Formats: sequence, C-alpha cells, structure tokens
Amino acid sequence: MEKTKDQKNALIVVLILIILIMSIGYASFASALQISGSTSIVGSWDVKFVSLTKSLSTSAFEVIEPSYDATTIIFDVELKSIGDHVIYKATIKNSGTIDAKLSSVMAPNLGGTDAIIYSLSGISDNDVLEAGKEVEILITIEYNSDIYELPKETISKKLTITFNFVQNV
Amino acid sequence: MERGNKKNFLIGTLVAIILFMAVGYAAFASALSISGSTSITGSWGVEFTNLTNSKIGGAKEEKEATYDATSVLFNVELNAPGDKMTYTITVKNTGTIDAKLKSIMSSDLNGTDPIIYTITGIKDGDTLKAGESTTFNVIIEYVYSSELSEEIFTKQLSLSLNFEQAA
Repeated sequence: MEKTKDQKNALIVVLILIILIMSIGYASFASALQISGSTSIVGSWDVKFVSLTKSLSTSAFEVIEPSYDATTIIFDVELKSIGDHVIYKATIKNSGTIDAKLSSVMAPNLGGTDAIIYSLSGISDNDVLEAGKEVEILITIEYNSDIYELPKETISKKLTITFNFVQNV
Repeated sequence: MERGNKKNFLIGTLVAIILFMAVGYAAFASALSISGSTSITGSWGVEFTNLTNSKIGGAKEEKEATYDATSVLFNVELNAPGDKMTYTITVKNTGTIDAKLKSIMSSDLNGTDPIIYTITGIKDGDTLKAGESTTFNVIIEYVYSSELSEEIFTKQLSLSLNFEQAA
C-alpha cells in the first residue's frame, strides 16, 4: 500500500513537471508590447474687449456713460450740429493661446447717407489676431455734414456691430 | 529408489526445457536501440528598437517620450485644433522564430473626443519574420470641432501589441 502510494506521488510530480515545461515553452513564443501615455489639451480661447476710450466734438454729448465688458460695448450719444462726432476707440485683445481670425464683421448700419453716419476702421475681414496681441478699432458716429435737408425732428439711429472671430487655421 | 530416479530425471528434464526456452527466447529477441541528441537553438525576441516623433502646429511633449524593449511611454500637450504629434515606432524580430501580430488591443483608439489616437502601418495578422523590422505610427491629434475646449482636457492611451509565433 505504501509502495503504491509512493508511486502515485511520483507520478503526480512528473505530470506537474510536464505541464510546467509545456507552459514555459508556450510563453517563450509570445510577447505583449505596450504603448501607453497621456495627452492634454492646454490651449485656451479668449478674444475680448479690454478697453474703451472716447473723443467728442464740441456739441456732441453722451446720454449715458459708455460701458463695455469682454463681449459688448454700449453707448448712447446725441449730436446737435452738423459735423458733430463722437469717436470711440476700443481695444480687442486675444488673451488666449490660440491665434484668431476675424471671419466677418456684421454691421448693417455702417456708412450710408443718413443724417447719422456710423463708420468703422482699424479692422477688416480676415485680419489675424495672434495669441497675446491686441488691435485698436475706431467707431465714429457723426452728424452727416453733407446732408441736404436738416431733420425737422429728433431722429435716432441704432448701431449693432458683430465681430466674428474664429480660430486662425 | 527407482521412483526417485524418475523424479530426478523429470526435474532435470524440466530444468533443461526451461533453460532451452530461455535461450530460445533470448535468441528470438533482439534489443534494438535508437539513441541521439536534440537541441533547441531557436530563440524568441520581438521588441521595440527605435522611437522618433514629428509635430504639427503647437503640439509638444510635456515629457520626452521614452522606450525600452517592451514599452513606449509618452506625455503630450496639444494647444489648438489641428495640432498633431506622430510617434514613429520600430519593432524588430530579434529572434530566430517568425512572429505574427495576433492582435492590437486598445479601447482608446479613434472615437469622437477632441483628442483622437490612431495607429497606422501595422495591423492584426501582419507577419514579422526573424531578423526583420517594421515601423508604424501612433498619431495623436486635436481634432476640429464646433466648440473649442474651455478647460484642460486629458485623454490616456493604453495599447498592447500581442505577437506570437507565426504558424
């Protein structure tokens, strides 16, 4: 009985060794190569108004003090005499890390021959504003000195200018 | 006494028969032997042997990419959509046994995130013969989308190339 038991134990050991040898043999012919890493997006987009100054002709005045924030400028002026004008100088800055381009300026009330004329200068479509750079624009509001007939009553004219900046590709 | 002699004779005869049978058996038996020696000389070795990179736009390495025989590690920063970092990796069969790429395992490839990982130049089933090298690219790109990311966005990559003996 003891002898049979010893024989069985020996057989078990041999079988385990065979399995181990077979396993090692298989593992030797396979490799897993690893590629790993991390990618971060660190760029920021930030194009905004950063300052606003003004100059007024003698009889022009501001109904309200103009105001601005990162994305809007608001003004309300009165012009009394032909030739009166108000000039707002606004600074646009690219405070982000991605270069910007002015894809379009939408301003349906610029120019014209009305008594009140709005004009814009200092920037135009497709201008590039690189990261960290600034640009100054001028918004001029004037009482048209070429008007044929003076208005008989108070007239007003609104202005909305939209600057559409996109990533410069 | 007579009877005793018969017994002895019988015994002697039986012994003789046994001896004869033993010899006869021995004469009709031959031990054939085969002997020899076998050695395994083949070796298995598939490993990374080179790593280079190229950049487009504002892509840069936060840390310089490193590699050894079995792993590549990178850390990249992308600034704006369109930025791209491409790692060109060489894998060589340094053994004497032909290898086959059984599978590329990764759940981080392609997708729709702002950061996209792609692999080109190698695919499942490709064979890499003993002594030969092949190069492939791991491309990391900040893709264009309607909205720019307003905060830092990070994406990991874990990719495994599983080579085995080519049948």
